[in-house]
Amino acid sequence: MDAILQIENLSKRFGGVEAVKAVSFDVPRGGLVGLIGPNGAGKTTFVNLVTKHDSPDTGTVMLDAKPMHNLPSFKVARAGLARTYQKNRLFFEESVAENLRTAMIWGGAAKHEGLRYPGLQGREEERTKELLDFFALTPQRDSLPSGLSHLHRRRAEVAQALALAPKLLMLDEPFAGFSRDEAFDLIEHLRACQKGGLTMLLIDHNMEVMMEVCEYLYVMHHGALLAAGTPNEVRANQDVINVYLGAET
Amino acid sequence: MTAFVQQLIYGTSYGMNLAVAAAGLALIFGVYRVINLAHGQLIMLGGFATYVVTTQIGTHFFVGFFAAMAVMGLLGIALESTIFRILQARPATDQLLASLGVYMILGTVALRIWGDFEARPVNMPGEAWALHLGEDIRIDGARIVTIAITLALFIGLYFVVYRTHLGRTMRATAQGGETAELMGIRKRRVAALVFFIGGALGGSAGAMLGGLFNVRPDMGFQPLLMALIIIIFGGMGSLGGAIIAGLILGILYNLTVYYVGSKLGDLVPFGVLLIVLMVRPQGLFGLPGRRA
Repeated sequence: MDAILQIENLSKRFGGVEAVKAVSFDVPRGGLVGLIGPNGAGKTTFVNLVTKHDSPDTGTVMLDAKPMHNLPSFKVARAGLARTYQKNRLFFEESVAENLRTAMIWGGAAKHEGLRYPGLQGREEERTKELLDFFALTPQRDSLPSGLSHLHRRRAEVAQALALAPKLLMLDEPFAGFSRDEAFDLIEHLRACQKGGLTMLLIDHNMEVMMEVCEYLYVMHHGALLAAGTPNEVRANQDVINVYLGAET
Repeated sequence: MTAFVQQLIYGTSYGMNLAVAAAGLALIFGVYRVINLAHGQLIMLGGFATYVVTTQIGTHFFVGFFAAMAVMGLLGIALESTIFRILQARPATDQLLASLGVYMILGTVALRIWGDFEARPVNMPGEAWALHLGEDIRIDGARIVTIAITLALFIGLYFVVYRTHLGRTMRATAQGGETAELMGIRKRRVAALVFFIGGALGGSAGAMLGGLFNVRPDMGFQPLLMALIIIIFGGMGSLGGAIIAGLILGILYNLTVYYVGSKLGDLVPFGVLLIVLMVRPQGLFGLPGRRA
């Protein structure tokens, strides 16, 4: 397997709580991989460790065979690892279009296309328009995040992360608060991104949606990996059934 | 009427000067969330830097002016990278007290060097440029230069903050440091740049105040106080708010001093502060979440 993201033995302890316990896994290039687990399983802490929002106690994170675990978070982002949050973290005083442009300053696209320099803003505008069109956000381009619906806000967050031109996108609870139709609206967009070559790691606790969307799943519980496999394999795994149906003990 | 217009113009020039000082403070607060009381002494040291370069060495005012901006900008970076960076994770009161400590240290150093309180003038250009409007209204050249410089500074500042990538990174960092880092923005470097620009604005305010009046070791206190009121009045962290509030306060102050008396004039800023805190605590252009 050609793995774009390789995680080895990642651990984090907060005082007496072992939030992430020696987690190792790979994400194949171009894949749409899921990380599931009940609330409190350590999924978000895990994402924070990978993006260096928090520093791991042990373990390594390699993106395209380059170490990320010893870099600060801004360098991890510049290297091509983008993420979204459970809660809206768009820049609240900037319009949707301006939020995308901000992400382009240091993103992968900027490095290749010279977007950091004045006079080349035509490309920036072109890319902004492209992303707004793709996510059907053109009518909202000048709106502030506070004026957007939940669905539009989530689309804008994903568009902002994509404006970084990442190699890998991690989406933390992207379907939270969505109806099934809204979830599948976003999924259609994500699938189109995957066809364009983007690798994605989806983190959510909604088993039903994740089973339908992801090609491969990792399951976390109590900070450790509980199971891994295709959706059918995970669905049939007794440990996973126990955790999700509460029959563990 | 003549006196009113004259005071209006003087108030505008004083207010713009204060707005420059306040803009530096607002910028630092907007991005760093710290009220840097040491800013008052950067204003004072900016005045003395201009005095040394312009009056003592004998260069043109603008050489001293830019030297003051550069030196105070570097001092701003030095303060950020030593004291404020270490204290950033600590409660706001710790940072406020630390900046007060820096204020006291810098003030004491200035008193040791220039504590004789002799009048130290800074020669501003434009003595021959006094403007006569009609028969009775005369505007000093120094006031005209001050207004021209502050206008240029505000245009430059607007350009940097709203028309460059640097400004965009500054605004992003002000709205969410963690998110900005995940967009590849190096928060530490933005913080250093903001302290540089804030310090340079303080230095420029000191240079102009030195040109309008004289430089003194205690000259930073009143502009600091006014700048604090201005950033609350204008809205914490709002640059546009700082400029408009500075103008309003400068004009109100001058008119009150002229028509009512200097003692009451000193009360104007505090009266405005009390009204703002009671009626609109987020200030003119502040967001409700960013209260004083």
